[in-house]
Amino acid sequence: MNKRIVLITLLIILCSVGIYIYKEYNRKPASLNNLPAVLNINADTLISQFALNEAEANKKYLGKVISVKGFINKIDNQQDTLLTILLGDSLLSSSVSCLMDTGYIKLKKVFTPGTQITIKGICTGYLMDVELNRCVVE
Amino acid sequence: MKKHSSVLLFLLFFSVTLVAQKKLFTKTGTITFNSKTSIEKIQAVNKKVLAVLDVANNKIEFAVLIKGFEFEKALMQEHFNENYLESDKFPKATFKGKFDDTNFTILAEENKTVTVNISGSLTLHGVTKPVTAKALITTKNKTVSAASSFTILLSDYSIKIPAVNKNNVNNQVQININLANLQEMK
Repeated sequence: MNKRIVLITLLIILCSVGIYIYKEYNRKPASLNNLPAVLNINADTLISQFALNEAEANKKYLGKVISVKGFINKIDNQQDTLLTILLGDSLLSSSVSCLMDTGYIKLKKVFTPGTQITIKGICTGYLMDVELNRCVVE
Repeated sequence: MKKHSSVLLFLLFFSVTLVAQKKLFTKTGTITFNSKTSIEKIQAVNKKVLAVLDVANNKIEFAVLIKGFEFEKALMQEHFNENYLESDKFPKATFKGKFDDTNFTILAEENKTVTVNISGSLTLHGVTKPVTAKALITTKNKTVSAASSFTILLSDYSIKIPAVNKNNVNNQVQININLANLQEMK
């Protein structure tokens, strides 16, 4: 009787470990719709922080989910495969470049330059622009 | 007649210098990489590659953010960033190189494809190594695009594969670069 209980317990543990490993292995990157932003910031402030001291800004923002508020200065829609919304003062040489979640391409939502918007994304760093990935509109 | 030919000469000269002074760029180039073993296939894509093609000086430069690589599986992406590429410490990869062939008159022609040889240095994971590759440059519908593909060894860039993953991750990784619709830099 005792042996049976031990065996069943072991089997349950083994099964749950197996299920956990399987689920963890096949886990998809989480949608940003379900992740809260760790901080809110204005687009122009973010750009100037990266332009002034990239290493310092990297420490603050790299890999973090951030929510950026700013004016749309350009929309780059490449053959419906890649939708990028650029935020910030169009007179500056840099923008916050938000690569939108692929779901937004299908949505065909209309974005208008000059309007203010808040976009949540993962900050991946700074090239010519401050780059945000997997962005969603807040 | 003399006047005409000088105008023609001027025009010819002007159009050639126009081509020669061109700097082309894109902020939305694509890099994919593949690592394949009998057990596992690992693939990732980065759609925000910055590339500048300096035609006048035969130079080409790339920069890409490591955290911008997207994997199908979240766990792979986390391991890639934390254990392999250490993207908090080394957020960027860059390539600086030159075209070994210097004939860019193709850029003025329509519907042409040429193969060029590129040599330069790739900086990845804080290590810089020489790389050579062939690239295809195509002109079509008044746009210029470029593509290249080469392989690197992870061990060259001090990227360690943990013993437990030896059979899942190939030391040899294929890298494909695609730059569509290069724009003229103003």
